[in-house]
Amino acid sequence: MEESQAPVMAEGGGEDKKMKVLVAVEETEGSLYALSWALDNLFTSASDVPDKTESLGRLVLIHAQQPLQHFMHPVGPCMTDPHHPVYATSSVIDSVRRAQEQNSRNLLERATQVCRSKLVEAEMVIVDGDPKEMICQFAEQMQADLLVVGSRGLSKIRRAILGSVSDYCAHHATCPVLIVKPPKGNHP
Amino acid sequence: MATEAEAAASVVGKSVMVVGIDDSEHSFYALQWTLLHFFSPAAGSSSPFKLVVVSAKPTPTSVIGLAGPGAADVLPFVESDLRKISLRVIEKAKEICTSHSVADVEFEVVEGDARNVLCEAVEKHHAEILVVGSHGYGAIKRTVLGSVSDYCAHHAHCTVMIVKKPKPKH
Repeated sequence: MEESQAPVMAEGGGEDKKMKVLVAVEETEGSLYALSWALDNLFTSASDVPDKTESLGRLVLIHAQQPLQHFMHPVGPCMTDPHHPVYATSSVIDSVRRAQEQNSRNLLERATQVCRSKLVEAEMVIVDGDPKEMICQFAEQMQADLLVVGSRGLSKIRRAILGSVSDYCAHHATCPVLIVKPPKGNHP
Repeated sequence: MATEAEAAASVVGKSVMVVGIDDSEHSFYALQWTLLHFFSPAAGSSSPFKLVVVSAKPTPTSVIGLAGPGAADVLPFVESDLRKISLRVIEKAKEICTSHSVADVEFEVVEGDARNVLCEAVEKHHAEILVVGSHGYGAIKRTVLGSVSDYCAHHAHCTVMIVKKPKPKH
């Protein structure tokens, strides 16, 4: 159901609540917590519906894989001879790629488990590239109503050095962004 | 029946949602968006959230900057002006809530810097989620986060939702 983003809110029937929610899934605990938080608070319904997403919108999980170059480290003879480039053999590239894919699959499996345990059907997307950019791009492409990201609760300096996906998304996403913090240990 | 509802609310612990508003179109948009997506009447008899709308009223001293001997005279005028503005903001918020048929709302006006007011409100109400609009000061950058929403995103102890008013598409 396409809702036009007009500044004036249109009053409507039950269709209004349908939201397209994009949840960014990463290999951090904060990310999976963000997912379960979103499921608990965004996909609740008064009645017991077997598939909650049917009545409440679309849930899409997105996982961004870092580009492979990051995993290549020069080792061996090139250390002594700077003019001798090191190329990773194709078998090394393959196995790294496979490991990465396995990793992503496992992660999304866990995420699906979490969704299923809360009776929510989710779609899954894997993209290659810089996570923050890909997530924002995808949110725009699918015209998401809400983007959910976890947060590691880093300090300002660490955020600047390590880079923060949630920070980037908060600034650059065109849709509303929900930043879920890890629990501080005190539950209401 | 009343006690049952009360007990239910306190036992289930209806999560509190704090929405920060000020005298800007962006924050009213954020309030409307929130009401539309989280408090739709179609969601059943009740929404899982209890809504608390908080408006931060800047202190007169912060506005004037306490400069010069004449400041003391201007103070009462600035104070009444600010009070009028914050009342107007709350009135508009009330209108928006009623137009979305949301009755169970608390309204608060707290004096102080918006950043602190909102984070403290989160603590006070043990809020599950804080909703803020985003000003996007920059005409230069396509999307720039306002300083209040940025502060809250990093310092509030709960989930923060930043609602942006979409730019008109050409």
